[in-house]
Amino acid sequence: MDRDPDTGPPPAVLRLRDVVVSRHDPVAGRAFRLEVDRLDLVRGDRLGIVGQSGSGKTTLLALLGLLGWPDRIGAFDLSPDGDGRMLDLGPPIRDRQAGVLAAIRSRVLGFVLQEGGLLPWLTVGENARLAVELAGQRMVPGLTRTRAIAAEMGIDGLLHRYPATLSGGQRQRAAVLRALATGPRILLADEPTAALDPETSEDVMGAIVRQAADTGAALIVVSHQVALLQAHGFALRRLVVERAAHETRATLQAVAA
Amino acid sequence: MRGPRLRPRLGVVARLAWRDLRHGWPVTLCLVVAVIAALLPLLLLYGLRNGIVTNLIDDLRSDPRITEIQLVRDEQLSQDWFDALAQDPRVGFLLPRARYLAASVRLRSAEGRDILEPRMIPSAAGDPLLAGLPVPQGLTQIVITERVAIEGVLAPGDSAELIVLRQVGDERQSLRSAVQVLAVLPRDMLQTDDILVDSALESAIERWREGFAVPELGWEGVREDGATDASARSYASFRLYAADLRAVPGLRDSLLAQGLDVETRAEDIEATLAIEAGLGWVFAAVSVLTAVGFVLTLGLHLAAGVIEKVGEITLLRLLGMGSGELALFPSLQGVMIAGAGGVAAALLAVAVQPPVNRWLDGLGGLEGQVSRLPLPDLALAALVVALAGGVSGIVAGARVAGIEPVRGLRND
Repeated sequence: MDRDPDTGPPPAVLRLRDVVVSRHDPVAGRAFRLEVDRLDLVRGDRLGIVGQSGSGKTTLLALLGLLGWPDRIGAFDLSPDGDGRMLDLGPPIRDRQAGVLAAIRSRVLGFVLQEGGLLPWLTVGENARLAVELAGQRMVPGLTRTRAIAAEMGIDGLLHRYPATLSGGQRQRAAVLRALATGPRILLADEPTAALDPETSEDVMGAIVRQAADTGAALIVVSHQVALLQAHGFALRRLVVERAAHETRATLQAVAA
Repeated sequence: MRGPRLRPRLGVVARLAWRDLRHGWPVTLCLVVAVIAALLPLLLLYGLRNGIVTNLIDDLRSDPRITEIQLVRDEQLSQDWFDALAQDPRVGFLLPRARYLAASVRLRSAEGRDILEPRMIPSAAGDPLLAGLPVPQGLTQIVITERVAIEGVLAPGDSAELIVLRQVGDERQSLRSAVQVLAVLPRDMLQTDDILVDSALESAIERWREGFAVPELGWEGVREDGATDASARSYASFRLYAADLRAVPGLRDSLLAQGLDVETRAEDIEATLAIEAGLGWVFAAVSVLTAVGFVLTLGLHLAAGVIEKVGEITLLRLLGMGSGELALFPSLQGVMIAGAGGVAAALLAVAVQPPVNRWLDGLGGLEGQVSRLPLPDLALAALVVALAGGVSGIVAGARVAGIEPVRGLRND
């Protein structure tokens, strides 16, 4: 149950403590280690992740998207209903219960990818419908939500179009629609405007922020476009890299406003 | 939140597989045409094999004598022996038969024409020689061969006399028995001067010739003891037909193993069955090679498709679809492509069969329905091809299952 924003702080949706992910970087021929000491998100948060190439942005996104297998987990809690009641994901992650995590991912998380992330053989509306279906949600509320978000984003006329017939900006908006169709608690966006011109980037980022705010989803955007993130009120965290002899170590650090 | 769904959503995967194929319809169409191109000649070859073999076997089956097994010399065969042989499922028709000499009679037509020494052939219901003709019953009905009919100027319904002779000491005795011609057996069924009679009549004549009385016909002779055990009686020969021509060689071998010298047309049958087996092997070899080529070709295409669709596959994984579910994706596409090709090839085979038959009729000694494609065989072929399509997607499915959803995220 959501708390009244006038009577209390917004409920927490994500809490990470002392999480470490290690992997071998075959290109650099050395180990890579990502350390997240502390990460908290509440309903409606906007978090921008920045960092240079090779700083572990994808690794972090995979971790947050329940796609990675951390070596160490102090705490990894998620609120499936967005009401502050946290689900301890430590055990299923440690036990590598991919099916359980996939089910949680489909219902709690939404993804917007750099190239949109739409199935080319389905129309925009069918892409959104599929997300609802795979999340195991009831179709009528899901489709009603889809139509409402599409109308707000001004793409309700595109629901019957295939992705290949859309412009880059339209495709990204359609991807946002697909990602939000399931009513996710957290929206993860991976360079959602990297392939767009500045004007379209501004439009798309505005649409993402507005829709996330409307649905109450916390927003995590990985991007190189720091100014764009700042312009849309994102709190920024930077992945800082330290290179030792045989290991690259990345830590997530706050960026002063 | 409801619990995670771990059961494969086959319907969703099938729908997505179909939509992908529909989206890339030019490639899909090419693949379906490729399946048709591989399968249609195979079906036509099967039709020809089936038709040629079936025609050969039908030709053999049209002659009931093909299943006949004849005893070369008279033997002494007990009733128990007949009873045991009758239980053999390979036996189609079996009757005891009199000694060769005892079976010869004289037939005199109502106009007084004698047919010298026609031989009696015992008959009964189910006699393969009398297919479609009435069976003589009792002591007064006979069926004559066409040669007898011509010689005696006899037709069905005519009356005649059987004249039977016997030698008792120095005395030559004869008797006459009135009979009626029930039917005439066509020449192509039997070309000899023979008459078919109820086995009871043949048995009565044999007994009289052996000196016994036949009270039911009023023939005098030695009275048989009423307590005589019927099972103790022996017979000189038999009329034996196998249940099917495929049973003839085995039945012949069984009788030879008992020391009985028999004649059959097993060589003709074995030659035909050898043709059937030979063509079957040729067809099987061609089928296996085609199937291997088909599965490899479609499998490689589906595997290559996985490389092209990594983005879509990882997206589906991000959306919560399991690796096991997605592993079905290529196999279902294989089933759809091969199934469509299989059905289309089957329909085309049905469509081209009549012109093929017309074209081949009269060529190289072929005649009749040279190509035969039974609908159940076509349905089975389409089903097998669809399943082979599913098999062809297994390697691609394994590759799909190995794609981690994290690959959907960019590499930094």
